[in-house]
Amino acid sequence: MLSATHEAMLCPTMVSDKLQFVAAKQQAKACRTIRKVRERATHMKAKVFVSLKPGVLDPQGKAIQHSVELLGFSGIADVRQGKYFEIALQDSADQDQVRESVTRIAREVLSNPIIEDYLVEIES
Amino acid sequence: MKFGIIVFPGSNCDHDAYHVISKQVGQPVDFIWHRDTDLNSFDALIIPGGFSYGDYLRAGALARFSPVMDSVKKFAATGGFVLGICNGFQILCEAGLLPGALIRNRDLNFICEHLCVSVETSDTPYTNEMTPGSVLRIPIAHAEGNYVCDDATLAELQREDRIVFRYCEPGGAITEAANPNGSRDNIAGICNHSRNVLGLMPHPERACEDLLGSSDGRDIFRSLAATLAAVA
Repeated sequence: MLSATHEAMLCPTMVSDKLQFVAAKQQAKACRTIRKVRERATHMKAKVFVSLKPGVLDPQGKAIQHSVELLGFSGIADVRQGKYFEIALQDSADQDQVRESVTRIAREVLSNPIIEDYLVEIES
Repeated sequence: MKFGIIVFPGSNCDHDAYHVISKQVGQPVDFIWHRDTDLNSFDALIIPGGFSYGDYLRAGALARFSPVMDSVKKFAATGGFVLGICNGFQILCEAGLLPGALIRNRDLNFICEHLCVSVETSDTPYTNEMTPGSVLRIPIAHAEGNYVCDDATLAELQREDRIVFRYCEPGGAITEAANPNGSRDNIAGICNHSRNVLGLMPHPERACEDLLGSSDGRDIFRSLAATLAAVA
């Protein structure tokens, strides 16, 4: 089958529709396999939410609130803008250990503790 | 006396700083790539303005993980002079070398204009050639220059005379109207406890020649050069 694919690449004019069909099917199968392997490898996901601490000025949130009100919504007390991160984890490490690592990532990289709070969620 | 200018991917005021040190201050100067870690040949470091790492995540947040920053921390801890300008100030805050943080400007705008800052103390290596209360006309160019810190930090900065520059009126009055970005207490620049690390949002390197509209920024580099000459 592989040689047929090669042949298709080398002299396309001489290859029948059937050979092309087989090559395409093969490629689709390979893609499905790769996807399955990847899915199996990333079976744990961490979600990190970063938000400004209460009291820290959020001019972007204020601008968004203003736009929402212009759209016709009333009764919006406040809008605060934050950040959301998805971290896909490759190995099946123990959940407590993953939580500890991701919490450290959230504290030391994803947030600035002077102005921001973070929340970590681990999804199996 | 040798100056080093640290270059991160996205730094864009590195050549301005180089020009000022070599041509206006007349001292040897070299660029330091952010992956270099040997700072032994330098007496003073400048972390220039720009958009290190594209300001991804937060301004200055990713630059602090560059290999050079561990060496900068050691350099500062042993009394080396470190001057952070604009993005350099943001990096120094993210790296924990200066307290507080710089967030989005109060009015969301990127502000690029000449304005006035008052010299609040002459008790730093960067201002010892100036008189407290004197006014410098220097440009700012930033979207995240709104200095924030908690009450305890502000009290400590005030008590230790570590607020080095404050936004002011041309006559020197510190008013809310003269505050371009909402910075707490009109803070434009602060130094660390041992006074060898200074961060400021205005760009003194852009105000060192009359041709550029002001030469007030030169005094900061000249003060530092005089300090270095005295300790040499």
